[in-house]
Amino acid sequence: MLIRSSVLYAAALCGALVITAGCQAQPEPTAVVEDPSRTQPCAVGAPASGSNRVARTPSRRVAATPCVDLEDHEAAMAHIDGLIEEIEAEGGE
Amino acid sequence: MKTSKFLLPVLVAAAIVAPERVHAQCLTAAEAQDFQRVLRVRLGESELPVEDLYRLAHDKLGFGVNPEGSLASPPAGTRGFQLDQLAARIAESLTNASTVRRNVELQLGEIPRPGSFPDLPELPPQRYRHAASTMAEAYTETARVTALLVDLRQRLAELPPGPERDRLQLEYVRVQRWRTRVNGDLDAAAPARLMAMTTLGSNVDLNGSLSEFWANHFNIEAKKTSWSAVDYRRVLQRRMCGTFRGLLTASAKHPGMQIYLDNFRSKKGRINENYGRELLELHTLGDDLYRYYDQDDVIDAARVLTGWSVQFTTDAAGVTTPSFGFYPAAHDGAAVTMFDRAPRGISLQIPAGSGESAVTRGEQLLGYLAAHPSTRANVCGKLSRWLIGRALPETVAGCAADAVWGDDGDLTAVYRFLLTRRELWSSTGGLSEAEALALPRSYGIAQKTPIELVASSARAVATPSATVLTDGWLTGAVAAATGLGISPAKVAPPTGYPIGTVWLSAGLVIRMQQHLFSRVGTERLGLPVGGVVRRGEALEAEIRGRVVAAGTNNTALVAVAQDLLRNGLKAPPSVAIPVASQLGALTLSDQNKVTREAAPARTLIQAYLGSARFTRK
Repeated sequence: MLIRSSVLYAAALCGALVITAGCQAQPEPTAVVEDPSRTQPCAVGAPASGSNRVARTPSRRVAATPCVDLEDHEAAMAHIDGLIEEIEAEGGE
Repeated sequence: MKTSKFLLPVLVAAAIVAPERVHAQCLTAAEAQDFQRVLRVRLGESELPVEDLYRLAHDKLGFGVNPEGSLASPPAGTRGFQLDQLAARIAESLTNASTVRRNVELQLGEIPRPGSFPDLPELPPQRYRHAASTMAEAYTETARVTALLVDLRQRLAELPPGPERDRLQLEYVRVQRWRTRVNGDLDAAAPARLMAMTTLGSNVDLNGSLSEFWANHFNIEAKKTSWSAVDYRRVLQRRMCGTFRGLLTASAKHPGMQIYLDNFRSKKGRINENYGRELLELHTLGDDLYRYYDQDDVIDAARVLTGWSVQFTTDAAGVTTPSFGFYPAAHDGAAVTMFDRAPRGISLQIPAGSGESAVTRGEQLLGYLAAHPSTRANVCGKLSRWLIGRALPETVAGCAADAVWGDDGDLTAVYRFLLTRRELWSSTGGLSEAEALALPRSYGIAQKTPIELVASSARAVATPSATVLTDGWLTGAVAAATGLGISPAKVAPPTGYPIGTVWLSAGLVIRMQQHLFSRVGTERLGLPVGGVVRRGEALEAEIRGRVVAAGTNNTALVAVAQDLLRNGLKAPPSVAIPVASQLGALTLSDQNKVTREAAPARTLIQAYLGSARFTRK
């Protein structure tokens, strides 16, 4: 009885450890989410996977997503224009 | 030069490219030894006193003398020994970067990695946090914060009024302030770095002087791409001891230049000719339009360079690197014949090309331009004005000759040639000192630019050291140069700032006087140097003591001025003349700002800094 209980206890303990370990294997949530772009790296006006085009926003501003490889000329141009537009707009804000 | 000799290397240039020297030092030990020997002979031929030769070296090959620096004045010994030392120092300045410079790099380079996004109140006070990082890191941070703002703005537009919108609004303001901070850091970095280097460099600082020359020659105004400014200068500095062709290519392919002159958006059927024009007009052939090239050549140059742009690649860590990218689909690969319409044009044929290899068509054009006689004359003339202060026709011709320039522009050979010209080591090029000061007021001799003036006045009286370099000091130095007409590292036109006698304009002289006499006088030697005015204060105390001892006797004051300027401030006796003439007037005009007791002492320093001898390069 004692042995069986010990085995059960050990099994339960192991299971708990496995579950805990499994949980620990998941990314630990940061206490303070400082940077939304880190948690959603390609969410900002980003193209769908496989595309290297940058979507235009309704205001014709181009999202500057550093998470995509901008190897297409049009995409690179739009990206640079978007950055310049933002920087120039800052003066008026 | 014969055309055939000129064209031959151009035609094969795309296929055979000599290995480019990329390093921080211009001369190998053997080259330095040879250069030192030739230079020593030239110095020995000079008729000037050895003190004047030292001063010339400090002013023309550096940013003015720092009295506490090495070789501020000739060491004790025979004239031969003193000239040996000077020649060795000049050769060394082309061989090694100074220790001080490395310290500055370290100091400005010590910043946190991007990625952290702290609350603003917790930010440390120092600036340049982002700017001193690599271009990839600086760019990534700029783009990341910009993307956040765009996203937040879009989400705000879609949200109805309520708590969630209020929360996002606050977040938007927070990110906006962070972006301002990032942009401010990046924007301030290049000017601050320039002023730090010009004021902290060694007494003979060819490394710093030449890097400023090339940054000005291939000027970019990095307002649009402040993340690229520091890297752009660094790239030019690393290439400035190789060939002109290599330097030209490095400039052409840098994202800063691609974006500044809009070549990144130039594509087949939609040409942007901004870069093509400045490439011919400023960087290479010169502004002699319709002699060697015409408007059609400008357009053809732009066509050959279509598809030259910027690409962005992101690594696993999320850091995006902007770099040169060639986009074959955007390239206009039609065969062109250029430069055959202008009266003295030298024809260039660039065959048709497509695909990735078509990038060599642009490189062929750059090779042609680097070897062109007009480029040689243009660059040699500018470099001569920069290093020597004037561009004598025979000097420009010698520099541009095959024996010096070679095919691609051997810049080390060019530097060595110019530094051993006779006119460099003859302060007035034939005029006596009195004639140069009195009559034509240095006709044909370059004046210090505002950057050099601010740097040299700081070095002369209040030389800061790397350990006390502060944000306030850098900001003040940048503001002072800006007030005099050059915004360091932020000159807007592609021409850069002018070199030479232009800085002798009446308006500028007045502004310089205002800077040197009121700002210097009222703010303790002018530059808000924080804890680095000890030398200035010590000088002032010494001068004040002697002036007070001299009483109000004007003759005695002038005698004190002569003595101090000759011995205390290392200035030549001729400076005593403007000192004597300016003593009274300046004391009166500044009396509401400066106490009567201190005025004569400060005025002496001001007069020294404002003298023709000091402001002349």
